[in-house]
Amino acid sequence: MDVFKILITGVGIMLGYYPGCTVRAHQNDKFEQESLKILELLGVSVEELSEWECCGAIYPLTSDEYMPLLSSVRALKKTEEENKDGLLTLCSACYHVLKRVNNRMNQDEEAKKRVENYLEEEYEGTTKVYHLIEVLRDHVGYDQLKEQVIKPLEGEKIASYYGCLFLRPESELGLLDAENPTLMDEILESLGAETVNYPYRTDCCGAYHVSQQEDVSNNASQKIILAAKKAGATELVTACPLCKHNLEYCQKDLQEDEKITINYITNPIIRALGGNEQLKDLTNLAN
Amino acid sequence: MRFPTKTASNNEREEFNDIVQKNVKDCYQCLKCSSGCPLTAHMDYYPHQVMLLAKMGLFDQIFESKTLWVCASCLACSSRCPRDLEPAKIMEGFRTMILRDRDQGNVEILDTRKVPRQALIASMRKFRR
Ligand code: SF4
Ligand code: SF4
Repeated sequence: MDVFKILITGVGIMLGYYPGCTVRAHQNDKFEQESLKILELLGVSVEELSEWECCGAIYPLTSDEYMPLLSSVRALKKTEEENKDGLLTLCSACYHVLKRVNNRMNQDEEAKKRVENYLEEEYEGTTKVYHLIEVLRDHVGYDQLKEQVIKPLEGEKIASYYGCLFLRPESELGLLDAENPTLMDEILESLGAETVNYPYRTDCCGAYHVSQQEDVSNNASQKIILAAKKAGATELVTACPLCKHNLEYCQKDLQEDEKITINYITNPIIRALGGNEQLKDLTNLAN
Repeated sequence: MRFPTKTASNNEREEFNDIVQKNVKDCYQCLKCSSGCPLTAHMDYYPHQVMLLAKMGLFDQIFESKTLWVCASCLACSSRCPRDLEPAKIMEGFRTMILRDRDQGNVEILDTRKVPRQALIASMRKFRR
């Protein structure tokens, strides 16, 4: 059965998994199932935290508010208690918030003291926070990913859209080069796809404005779509549920020939690995 | 830019400094923040202009500004500012002063269709109290 090259050695880490409210609520779009399948296939062990709550969706930029840090600290602390090697998230917003809260606990004495007083427990800021694409790069590696490819993505021109949340601030997140990120492109290239370079790939999609000032988010998202389209992309991928929604929703005002399919980054990966049918025997599905 | 007569009181300056912990006087108006901001088309004052008003202590002008409710905290400006002033944080500072004072938000959430929870939660937390 060489179509199913899953008998590879595990990469030896056990990550706690933090689904976050949005990814968990949107089961229909398969982001969670696909991500977990990919990780299982590539030998990364993942287990959902026994308890977690919403990270709050935004990191508080105000220096004098501490309550918004609590739910993230609980999740980070839980990861440690459950003996995991790090905390995995799929959503860029959760990644952004959890990682920055963790840094804050490391660097801001006052915040640490107040949070610990409130929670009545100590937390040293030692949990490492991972994004799905970071695990693919650092713990799986492009070579191993390449080996698993059954159907190379030939003939596809895919544009990666990075957005803001897992890029900036680079000094704190340190995942990608904030001005010229290449990680998603590298993943796609190792799957055999051609990638497209285009402007605005690191610009904001309009984010939460979609829930109250639609024109702001629609304009910002359309600019991104049109630039990708102009550069010849046949598909656009993202790793953020809100970016995906905005990039899809803004197309309602576009001409047919200006529209483009928006997918999660997991979609081309699954296709290259043989498609959902091939992977259906894997067990690691969300409960 | 219109120039009003009243500048911020000591109380206001103190409150603002507590929230942002930045010295806006360090801004040297290089415009890097505004040049990279993706949402300037919807703003009345550009980010560097907000910085200039803050520098001059013209807080009331900023409190009236649409810009505070358009900035999406995408951090493009903050990550590029050569003076590490984090204009996004400055915007958050002024927005927070308004929200804490008025005890209510400045925007209506559209509930006519389904948007991701992340957007709803973020909007509530950024723009309402
Ligand atoms: S980038 Fe920084 S220094 Fe330059 S104008 Fe903006 S706030 Fe001022
Ligand atoms: S954080 Fe706000 S002001 Fe700064 S670039 Fe983004 S939208 Fe513009």
